[in-house]
Amino acid sequence: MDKRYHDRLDVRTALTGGDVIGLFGRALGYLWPERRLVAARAGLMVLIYGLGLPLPWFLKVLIDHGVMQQAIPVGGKGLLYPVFMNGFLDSAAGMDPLAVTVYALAILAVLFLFVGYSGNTLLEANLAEGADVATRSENKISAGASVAHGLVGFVDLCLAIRLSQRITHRVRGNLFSRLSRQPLTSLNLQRSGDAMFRVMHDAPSIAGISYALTLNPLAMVVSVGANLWVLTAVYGSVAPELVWIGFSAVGLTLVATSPLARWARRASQTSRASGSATTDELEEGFRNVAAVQSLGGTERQRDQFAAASRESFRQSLLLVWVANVVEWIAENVHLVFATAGFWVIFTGIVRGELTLGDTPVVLRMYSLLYETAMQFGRIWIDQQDNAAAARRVFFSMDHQVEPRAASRRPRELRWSEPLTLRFEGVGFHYPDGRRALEAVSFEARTGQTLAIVGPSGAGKTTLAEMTPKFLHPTEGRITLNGVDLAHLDTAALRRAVAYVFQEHQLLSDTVAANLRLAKADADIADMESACRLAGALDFVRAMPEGFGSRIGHGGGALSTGQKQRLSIARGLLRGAPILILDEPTAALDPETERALLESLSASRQHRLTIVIAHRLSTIERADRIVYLDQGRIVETGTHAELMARNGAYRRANS
Amino acid sequence: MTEGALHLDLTGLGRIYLATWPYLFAQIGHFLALLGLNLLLLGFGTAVGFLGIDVLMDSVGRAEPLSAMQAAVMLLPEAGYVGVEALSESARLEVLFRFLIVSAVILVTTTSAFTLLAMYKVWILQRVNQGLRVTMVRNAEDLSLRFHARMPAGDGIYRVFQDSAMVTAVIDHVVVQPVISIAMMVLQIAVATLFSPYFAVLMLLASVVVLALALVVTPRLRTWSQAARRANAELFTRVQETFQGIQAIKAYGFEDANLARFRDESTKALDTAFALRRDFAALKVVVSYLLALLLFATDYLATRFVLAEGAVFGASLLVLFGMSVTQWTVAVHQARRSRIGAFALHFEELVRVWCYAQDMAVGLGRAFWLLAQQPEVSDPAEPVPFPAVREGVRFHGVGFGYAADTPVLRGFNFAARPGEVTALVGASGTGKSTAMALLLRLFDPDEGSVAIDGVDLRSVLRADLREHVAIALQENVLFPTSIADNLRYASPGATDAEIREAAEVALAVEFIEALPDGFETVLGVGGALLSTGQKQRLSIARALVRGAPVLVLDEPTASLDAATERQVFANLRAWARGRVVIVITHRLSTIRTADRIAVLADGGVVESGTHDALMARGGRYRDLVAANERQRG
Repeated sequence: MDKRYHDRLDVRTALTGGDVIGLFGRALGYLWPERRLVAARAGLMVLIYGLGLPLPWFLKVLIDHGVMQQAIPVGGKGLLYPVFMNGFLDSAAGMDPLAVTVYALAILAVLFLFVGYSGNTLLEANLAEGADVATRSENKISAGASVAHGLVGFVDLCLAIRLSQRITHRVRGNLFSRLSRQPLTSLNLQRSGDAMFRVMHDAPSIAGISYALTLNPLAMVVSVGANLWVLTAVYGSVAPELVWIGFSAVGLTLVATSPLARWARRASQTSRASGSATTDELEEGFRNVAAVQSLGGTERQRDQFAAASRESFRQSLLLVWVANVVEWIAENVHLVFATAGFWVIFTGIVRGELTLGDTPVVLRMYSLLYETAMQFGRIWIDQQDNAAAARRVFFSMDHQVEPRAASRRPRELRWSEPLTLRFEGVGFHYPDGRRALEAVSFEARTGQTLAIVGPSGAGKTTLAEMTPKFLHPTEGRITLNGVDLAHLDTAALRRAVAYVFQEHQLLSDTVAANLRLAKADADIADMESACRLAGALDFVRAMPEGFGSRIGHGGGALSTGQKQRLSIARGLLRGAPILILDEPTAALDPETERALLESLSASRQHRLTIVIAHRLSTIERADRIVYLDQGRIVETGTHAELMARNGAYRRANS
Repeated sequence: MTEGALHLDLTGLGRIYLATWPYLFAQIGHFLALLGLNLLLLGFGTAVGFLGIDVLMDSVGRAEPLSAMQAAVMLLPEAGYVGVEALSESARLEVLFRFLIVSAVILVTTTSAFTLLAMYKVWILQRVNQGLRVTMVRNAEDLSLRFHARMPAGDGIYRVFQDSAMVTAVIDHVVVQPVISIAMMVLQIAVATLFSPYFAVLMLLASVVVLALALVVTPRLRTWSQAARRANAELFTRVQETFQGIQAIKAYGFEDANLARFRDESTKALDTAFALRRDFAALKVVVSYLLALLLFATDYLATRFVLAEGAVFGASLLVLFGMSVTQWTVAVHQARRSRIGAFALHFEELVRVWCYAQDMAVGLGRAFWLLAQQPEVSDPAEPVPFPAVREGVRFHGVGFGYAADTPVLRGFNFAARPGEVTALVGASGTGKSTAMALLLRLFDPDEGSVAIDGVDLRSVLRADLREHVAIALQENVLFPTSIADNLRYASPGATDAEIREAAEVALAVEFIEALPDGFETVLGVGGALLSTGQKQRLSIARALVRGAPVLVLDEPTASLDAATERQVFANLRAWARGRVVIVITHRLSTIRTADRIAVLADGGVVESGTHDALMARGGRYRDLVAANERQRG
């Protein structure tokens, strides 16, 4: 894939024909849960083509027996009509031309009420769309079209839209769920604009594939079969050329359009990748607007976005070109056959074997055959675009997600009992090979406070993130009451751990909603006491709607210190047996910090606390201090022991 | 968020459509060319169609002679073809043969021309959309932070993409297509009148009924459209927030609950989208049935005319279109059918466009809402150049609040001189960062002024100001590009040597060089892969690269260990010679070394002076220090 659209995980994006077939197989799987809707649509389709079959023959009646005043003999003797018209011909035998006209028009009016002039134009309800992939997805999500108009067409269209929506809903729900379960190491490598693009714009393509490969071909087979049958039955003996032309029109259209598939696929992939690059630019700019403005980067951000967006348009223009060229080829193929058809019909008329009324009949059947073959030929080409999207969707779905537990039946722990957390020779290196930790061993118990200290970049956060299994040791193991963390259920473990991040992570929701992330059923009293501990209560109360106030994106009008305090309050509210604070007090003023530390130590006996800190004031109180440097433990002990030892710790704190 | 109700009455619609005019006008030449070519081709198609039906039905089908013009077009001699009683069988076949060749040539040419026109249109519309998107993004990024604090990023993104696409769609569907459709409908009515005035009466009657129907359905469509867009923007926000705050979501095991919310919102978005499309489809079905009935009615009338062998009403004018007949024949009957059919087709198109317009008005309202947000902070009409920074920065009686009734700063007076390190201290939430945001003009003060060398900041260009004031932010915002690009972000022209020097001052070189690709290492989202302390050092280095005369460090070293911090500060002091340096911090060790300290409380500076002077005074500063000391003890 093109390096311009830098994506760091999903790098091998070329698709072969075989890959495409595999992708389609998977996409079809999404159709099965909707089989009742599919069956209903298949039924309607037969009805539509059934009712649509006699339509052109009444046009012939209007011309031949109305305008041209040819009498209808009893039993329709000597007239070219298919068998299903016999009933009408019998009942109209001997009528004068005006009466035949009124009779035929009345029947047409009834047929139209149900199916309209089916097959001529599609009934669809798409709304206006833009000119690149991102803006088209809205119509794709609710894609639907019916070959009929009228009442039946309306019902068919509604079912079609619902079907697309249901498939999309299922796919994007799955994708969203899988994406949010990926390990942090993968998520950090990816750009969130890309993840968004996959969920919102790529996912709808699956629905397109799944019925482009089932219902559409079925409809085409029914339609082509019925038309060729009628053509053969009526004209087979009088003008067999008409039948041959019909058959070869289908074949040639298919052949003429298929070589373009690969071209279309490549154009579509590039278009999608560049679309998600545009989303990225946009998102970076919006999210970091404070940084962009204060660093004077507005101009550059705008230029970058303009360039990404222009590229995205250029790529989709290419896609439109391909589509138009295909269209042009097909139209000219059609022209060849229509011309041949006219020649046969009118020579037949000159010879007296055919009538003027045969013109609309044959033309309509040809145009149906051509349209159908055309759509059939385009299925493969259109699906190249969907295949590119489907590949992106399935890639993310298949990407490794966090294992719930290493074994099928995770081990249980009694979380209310005192816990002992033990690191046994733990090492960790990042996927790119950088080593973060090496041979780390220590132990901590409920009731204790463990402090992790050391120069920045020493691996403190990496170490802490292993406890709730955000990261997994690449060497050694971590146990809780003797059970390897790998064998514990991830969700259960995380319920038992409250983690306060160094960089606060607040959602743009209300204060209460952010707090309830930690404890869904927390009431106001719970939240107040957690906020009081974290020194957040005063400013929350001062906000216009208290706990109901909304925080802007990334935290809005709160100061960094305030956001940090909310984030600590959230960790406390959790009431979990293990509390991890990553630099909790960096953004706090000394008063607040002191109050927080005092209240934490007052309630520490039921909790295992791990604190990462630089401030001596925070560290001193710890029961045990682990001094980390370059991924290794250099010293451990209490503050007094370490100060007495005169090693790295003392040097750092003197 | 509050957006003000969209007024979707006719004036509201009109205003929205008027607002698209500048974007349309920028490409007006292209649009006129597109329109002209389209009408030309369609008109040509109508004339050729006429000719075709006449030749095929009457001459080939019923052996009637050709008109002189028809013979000329097909390069046939007049003898044996024009003015004879009836055409011979061989003449009929010759006419058919020539006719098919002529029409094939014409059709290949016109389909090719239409294909090129379609491409041309896409190209023009993309240009318009590009211009609009860029304007929206620029405007959004210029808006003050106060605005961004209230608006979720996902919503903004949805507006830029989905809603800006509407402007181009409006131009296509509300201007280009309807002009073509209406012109073609008028043409069809005119031609149908030449066949028989009754047809025109029926067509006008059908028009009135269809338009009335469309007007009745319109309010429903608008309501659904608005609901659908809102639901979609919410869904976007959900997805965006999830991937932003994924750490917290994971830490609290919120994945399942979040997924349930996503599913709910997805369902809501899909339901509204369905309702909108259902009503739209229902209208289309009814309209197309009404137009079919119109066609059947004229079928009946035309058949009666043929049976009565009546004269064609405007035969003398029809000759202009190449029709050679004066009496109702099967060719006239079919030509009439094709005109009514074309009328119906264009009318259906017009109704479709009308429905689009309802949806687009909603999208446009949202897009223009973003465009219409006036930046609270704007450039002066006549800017003065940025001063040389000899006297320093001065805040004079500054008052400011994010919301009107809760001021953050009140009567804030503060000064920082070149060649000094000035520390700003105070409890969190007292407005330290806010004061620095005013210095950068991310906001303007509600009262009072911020000046450098006596020049009010409001009188210099924002770009100029931000070039001369560098800041290391409290929250480390790094972009997912290489480290070198991040360092260069604020000063694109910086050389490798300058970057390295800044990184040395910030003590970042060592860890950068330990990374696999050194300065070219590409960072993950928000600088993932680096520890917070490392990110802080990069932020500091980035601010230093600019070599700006005013440097602000907002809690720059909170996540550094004491030894690193001391070293960074020693480096900074050496670097800062002759510059204004303002440091916001809680760390006593940092504060103590500052040349001057300002203590912020209750929205204003309550004390200022050196560490020793403030300790001697025994005020708020000494309390702060004492609090720190107590903890240590």
